[in-house]
Amino acid sequence: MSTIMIVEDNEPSRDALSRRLARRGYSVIEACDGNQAVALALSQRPDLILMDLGLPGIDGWEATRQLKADAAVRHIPIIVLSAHAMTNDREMALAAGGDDFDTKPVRFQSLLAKIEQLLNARVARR
Amino acid sequence: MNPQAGVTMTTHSPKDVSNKSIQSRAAALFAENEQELHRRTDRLFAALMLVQWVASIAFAIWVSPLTWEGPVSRTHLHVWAAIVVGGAISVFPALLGLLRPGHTSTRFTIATAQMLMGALLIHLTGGRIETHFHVFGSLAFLAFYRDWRVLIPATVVVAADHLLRGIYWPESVYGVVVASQWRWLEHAAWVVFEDSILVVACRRSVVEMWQSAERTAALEETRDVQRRNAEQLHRLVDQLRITQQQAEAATRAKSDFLASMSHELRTPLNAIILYSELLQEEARDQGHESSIADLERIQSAGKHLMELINDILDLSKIEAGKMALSIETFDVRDMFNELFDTAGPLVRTKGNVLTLQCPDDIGPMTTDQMKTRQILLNLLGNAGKFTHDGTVTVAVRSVAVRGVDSIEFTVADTGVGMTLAQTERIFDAFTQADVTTTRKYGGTGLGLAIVSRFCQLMGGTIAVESEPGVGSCFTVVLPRVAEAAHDRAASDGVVAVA
Repeated sequence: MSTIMIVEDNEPSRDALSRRLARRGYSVIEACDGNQAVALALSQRPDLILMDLGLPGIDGWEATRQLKADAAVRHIPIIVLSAHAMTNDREMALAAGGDDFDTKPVRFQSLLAKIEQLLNARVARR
Repeated sequence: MNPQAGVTMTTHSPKDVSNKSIQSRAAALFAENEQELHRRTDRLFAALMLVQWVASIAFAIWVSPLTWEGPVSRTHLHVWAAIVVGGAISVFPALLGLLRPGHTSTRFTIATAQMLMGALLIHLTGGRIETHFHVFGSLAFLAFYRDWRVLIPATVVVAADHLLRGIYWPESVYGVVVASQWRWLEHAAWVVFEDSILVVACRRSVVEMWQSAERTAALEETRDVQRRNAEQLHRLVDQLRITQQQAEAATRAKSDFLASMSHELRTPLNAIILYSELLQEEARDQGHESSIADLERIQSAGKHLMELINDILDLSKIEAGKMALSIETFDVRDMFNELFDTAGPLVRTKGNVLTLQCPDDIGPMTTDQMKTRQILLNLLGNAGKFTHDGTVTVAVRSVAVRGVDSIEFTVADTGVGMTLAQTERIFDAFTQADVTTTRKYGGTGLGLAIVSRFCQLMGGTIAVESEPGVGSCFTVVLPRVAEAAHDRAASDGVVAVA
């Protein structure tokens, strides 16, 4: 089964999302800041990453940029999640190297669809 | 109390006050000009006095330089007379003219001396009739003062001189030994003749000086009023600019506050919705059917709250000028088919029939597709919400609005409709047609406010026609190419992204 890494600093949001994904049969890794996200991605090699933008330490933009700059993990698809209000997040997320984008609060069904689409695409590429 | 009494009882009109001030200013200007004229003329006469003195000496030397007693000659008495009498006549008034110019006494002294100098010159030229022209020239010259009174002593001096010398020394004044006893009167009459013309000229001049002074005073007053008005205008503009800046800063602060508040609200809300959904899933799995309904209520309330927050966020973004347009080219027909699939089920839930009228050749649009969809989804959602067992018709057509190629969307329903008063407030924030509407039909009351602002952003318009119990028809017109809106959005401080 696929492994999804959730990068999210808000504990209840992380926990709820993690448990719901687990119920769908995914195995979930949790990271609560940017540095941990980069470290875990390198050591655990998840199949997909859900990246929040507003993070302590290095933020979601920077973590995405670092992961996409590393040949070892560049292939892992990243869905950027943003609760930012005033910026053109979609364009910026894609520019930073994110593969897809969604807004928080998460609409779970729509997020699931995006996750499945990216995982299937990866399987198809292999 | 008659309220009009106060108005009619005005005693002091500003025009009176201003006329009074113009008159006094004109008087001051006139006095100033007149004084300057007198001083200038006094100085001229001072110079003339000295020139005439020298001229009289020259005349004396030229006409009769020497007196002879046999072979012995000596300086003629006339030369000495020119030097001594000429000096006596000229020096004092010349000094007055130089040292006390502008005084009335100076003017009168000069007038007297000028005529005495004429008498001396006539005498020195042996009563030549041509020298009498000096008298007429002097009178004209005295009229420079524009004070006819100076002509009186001048005339008296001429008349007295001719009378006395005509009697006692006719040679000196007429150049003949015997003269008619009344000849002085003839001379005096010519002088009076010239005087009468000069008096008229002087008085006219004075009137003109007055008019000129009044005009200048009026002009000064006008300029003063204009300057005061301009200053006041400047002050008002400055105040207005400050007020505007304050208002803009306040709006920005409000929008920023709302935006960050909305952001802060989303995080816990995210958890609430996720957990309520999670708990529903778990309750279903474990067969706790009784709690599912309650959990659904939590979830529904959470989603409503999220809708509200999203709408507030959108509105505050628009007001803060931070709502960007993301312009792309897309096929109108394709967008509509997609919209039909999304909104169709929503509209049909209450037994409504949804029909779409869209020509196949409607063509592409170049504008913000997301916002266009959001506008139409909102209108369709409303139509579905307020209509039972009726029809909702969406029509699209190509129109030209003041020469701009545009697309017109109409969303018409056969629902509850609105009164005129309700339609007038429908695009304002937080006003559904009725306060009870929100309770009955749900929604945030912000949807149409956002829709109307989106239309503005894209350079378009929205209008509504409605009748209670008959239905509502919303008409949105958007330019086919959102270029113009692009410019306007930029000038409104909205960052537009092409």
